[in-house]
Amino acid sequence: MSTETATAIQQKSEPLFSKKNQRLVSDPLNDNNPITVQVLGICSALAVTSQVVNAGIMALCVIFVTAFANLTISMLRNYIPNRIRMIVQLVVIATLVTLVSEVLKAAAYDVSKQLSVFVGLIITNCIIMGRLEAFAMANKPWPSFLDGIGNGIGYGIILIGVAFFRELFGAGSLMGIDFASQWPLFTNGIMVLPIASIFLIGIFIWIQRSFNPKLVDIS
Amino acid sequence: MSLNTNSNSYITIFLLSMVIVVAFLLSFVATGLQPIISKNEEVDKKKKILKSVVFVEESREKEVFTQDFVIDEYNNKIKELVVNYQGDPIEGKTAFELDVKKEFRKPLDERQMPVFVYNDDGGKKYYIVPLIGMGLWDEISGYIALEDDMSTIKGAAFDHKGETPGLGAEISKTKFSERFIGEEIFGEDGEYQFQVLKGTGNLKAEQSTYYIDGLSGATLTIDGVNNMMNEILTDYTTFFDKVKSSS
Repeated sequence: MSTETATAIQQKSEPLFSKKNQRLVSDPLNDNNPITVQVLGICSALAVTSQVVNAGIMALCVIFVTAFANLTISMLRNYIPNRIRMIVQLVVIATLVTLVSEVLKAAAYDVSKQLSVFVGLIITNCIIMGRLEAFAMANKPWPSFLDGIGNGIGYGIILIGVAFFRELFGAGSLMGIDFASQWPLFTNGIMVLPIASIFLIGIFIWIQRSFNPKLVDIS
Repeated sequence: MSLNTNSNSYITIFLLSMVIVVAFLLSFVATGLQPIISKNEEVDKKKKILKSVVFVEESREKEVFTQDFVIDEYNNKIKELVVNYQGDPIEGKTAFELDVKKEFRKPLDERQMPVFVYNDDGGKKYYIVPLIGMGLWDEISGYIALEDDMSTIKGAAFDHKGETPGLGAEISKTKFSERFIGEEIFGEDGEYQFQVLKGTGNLKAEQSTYYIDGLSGATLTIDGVNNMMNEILTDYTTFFDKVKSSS
């Protein structure tokens, strides 16, 4: 699966939403999903998926960080000394994450308290650094920005999907609205624990592979 | 491009300028947002104090505890008090601004302990005491409001810094804190007796007013809640006795 290296863009005047650019956003949603195909960013997928609202806001934060980290690194790519490129990437990511967390504290104090440490932990999310290394260092700013958005969304939909099942069967509620917590089936202890997400992600991968022939390894 | 991006001098200059740009950007944003953030924090603290004494269903919390309501209600109905370990008031200190964490680390005789007195519309007084302790991962805190017999719980509200969402973090939910209402802290002999039990569905919790159900999957956080309540409420007993004997 090396679609991203092949998409380096040569033409001078390409429409902003050309086929190629559209694929940068749509690819990570299915064929090249960062969680279910590349199996990156699993750590936060296990941790913040106990409630749909938290997962959604976490996803938004990650989309913002991947998109703008990709954009910044891509704009600087010709000036970044190769020997310290990882340090530069980390500084960019850490700066963006600090910005996100400060803005959250000012604009949505309650949410930032609920997400607590996990906003800071976006810094260690392997998807972001993976995209910077694999894509932004070799592509122009606009495609990099789209790639960041695509990967952020690809991460986000899995996160919300896992959170949907965990909140529904673990707490008997959805989006914080309690409607089924009186039935034991919907207050399953294991769904509350992070272990549940590893099973759920496993099942997601299984379902995705059985429907998407591109993902089946023929060799 | 003829720029040699791998020379040592280039790398040094690049790093230096990057650090300066990033430092400037971050401090610019941090100082710009600081007034909003500290205002948020102040309202949040007042809200937590009020939440312990004004019971509101979780679903209605957002519409009831608006910023204006919190500030209004707090300024009109809450009287702040700072006492020492013998229960005597200390003048010239504001309870709201005391750093509770620091105070409870000091030896007992140097300690300044905040108390918030809530006067409700019917002329009844409730005494609110701050709680602070360790959960599983990080600090947990809360406020507990007592009726004027200084043992019956009027209400409680908890908060946490880094407990796991869905597990330990559930202590900040109304679903958990409403179980405290009407329970009793001190036994007939005046000793601390109250306890949050392990898990849910405990027979003991139904039968006795000293015990309530805990949370499944959050036993270590609940242990923290128990320790925190035991330690801090015991330290306040002299003050509680003085209130009881004066009323």
